[in-house]
Amino acid sequence: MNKKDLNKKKGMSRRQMLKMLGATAATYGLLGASSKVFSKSAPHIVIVGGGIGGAAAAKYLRLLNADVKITLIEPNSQYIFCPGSNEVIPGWITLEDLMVTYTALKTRYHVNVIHDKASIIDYDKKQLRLEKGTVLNYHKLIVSPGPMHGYHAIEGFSKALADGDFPSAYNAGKQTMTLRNQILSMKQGGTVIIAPPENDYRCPPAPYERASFIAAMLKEKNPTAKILILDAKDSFVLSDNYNFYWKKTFGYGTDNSMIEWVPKKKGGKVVKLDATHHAVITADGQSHKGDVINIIPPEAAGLFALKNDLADTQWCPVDFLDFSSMRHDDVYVIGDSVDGAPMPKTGYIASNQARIVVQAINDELHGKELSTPFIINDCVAMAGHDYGMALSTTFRYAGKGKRLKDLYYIPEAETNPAKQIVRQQVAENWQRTFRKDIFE
Amino acid sequence: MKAFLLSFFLIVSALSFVNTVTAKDIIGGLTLKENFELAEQYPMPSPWLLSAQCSACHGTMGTEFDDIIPPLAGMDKQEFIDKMQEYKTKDANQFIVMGIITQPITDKEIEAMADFFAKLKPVSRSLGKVPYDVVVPDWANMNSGAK
Repeated sequence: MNKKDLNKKKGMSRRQMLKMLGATAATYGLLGASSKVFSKSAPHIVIVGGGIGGAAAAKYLRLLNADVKITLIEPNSQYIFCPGSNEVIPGWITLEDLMVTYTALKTRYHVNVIHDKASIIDYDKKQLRLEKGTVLNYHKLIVSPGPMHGYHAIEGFSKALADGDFPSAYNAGKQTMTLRNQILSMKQGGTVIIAPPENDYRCPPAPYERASFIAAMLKEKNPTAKILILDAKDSFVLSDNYNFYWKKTFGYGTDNSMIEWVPKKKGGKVVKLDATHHAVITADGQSHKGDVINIIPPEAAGLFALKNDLADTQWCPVDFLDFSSMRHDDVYVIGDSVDGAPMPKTGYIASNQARIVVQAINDELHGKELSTPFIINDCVAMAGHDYGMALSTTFRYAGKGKRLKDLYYIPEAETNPAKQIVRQQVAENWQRTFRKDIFE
Repeated sequence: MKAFLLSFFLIVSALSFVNTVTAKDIIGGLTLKENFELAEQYPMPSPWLLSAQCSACHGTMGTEFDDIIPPLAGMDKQEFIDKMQEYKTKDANQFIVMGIITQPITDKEIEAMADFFAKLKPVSRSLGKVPYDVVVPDWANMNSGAK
């Protein structure tokens, strides 16, 4: 393992860098799919993963620097935005509404997008091999692979089952539609089981937002149905707001409540799926039958990061000054794969981590001292069409080798209906603007 | 509906609120005092990085006006400072998220952001699609870094 020497972090002059790059410059010319012609000696920044983190890195690097060559590796030709995807379940929006493409990155920002899967990093040669055999020389590599879903952490569960009758629907896509259709066709009075994972995982309030939206859907179409949340933890973010909304709208806390939440300490943690009997088994051995079973498995760093020695155990350690890997030089890790606590794993944060990385790379190219990092994370979430909420956290630099330090505000549940609706509208406005900010 | 909400937003945001954080709000992590001490201890984040934190809601470098959330690009420097200070000191009822975002941001940082946005090409405050120049080479030069 190539342990990073933090003392080596000094800016390099542009001249030094160009000289160093000269040896491999010949390779860059071979890859030019973008219409803009870059200098043969232009530094080559390669980005793995075209989700929110990777796409933000590509776009914002270009905003800062017109001259570097940027290559983005992403197997899919379109991306379904995850923020907002719970709204597909009740049919308030469609998956198509959330679809974005890489066209603007290619044409407007002159990013060479290669639709292939990144495979192996050769750290000594500073080369990235793609699955179809292409080898790219990089000067800096930004890795943003998203999380890996640990289906096998739940006994009897698998990706095949999630793609089949037991959708996790935690990456927007086909499983989201399966979950929607299963709920629509569920028998009257049936039970939907939602099993959120332990921390940390992508978008902490999402399983509860999902429960809220499904309840709204059932209230209309299947009013005697139940939602059973079997939780692997004892608390969740924004729970005051959700509890308030659930009480007001779904009788939460009464015998007739549509939603029941069972925390870990009361036997909520699901450890096994019994696919044959359409049931889940919790840690205390109890079996719960569900007509629809939605297990959200625990997560770890993306497979690409794990395979390439960027994670120590579950997540990838980084230097919070610039999100460079603690394990290998000239590689940065951003997004859900980062061991970033107290930062939660959100798209908002992934995009702001991307901004820190590209500024650091650009500053280094210009021989400048790196800027102090600073991150804002806002969550403007919904509990329903008529109820929005917000929280805000800032993350400040606390010195070399230290984690960023957070300061968070979670306002209490809003009781004024006009304000509830305006907050909901702000949440919708944010989703539209955020999609555009990253992909247009 | 949208026009209604917009005017509603503008009216409400123009009001002054009593500075009270209610007991049920959850505040955690650093205290404000510790936050400001940390901010003092290290060089200020670059104006570009501070301003880029606004992009996810206000559009790329504050250039979007979609419905409710206003653009920041081209805003008069003093107007930006006044608005942010108003949110920071008077909007503690946290109606819109700005009242809580501004709490940990230092006056120096607010001024740096005001400077940054004031230098950008203004964006129309009327509703509708807002065209903007996507690559502004000056941003790299405005990014004076920490020192």
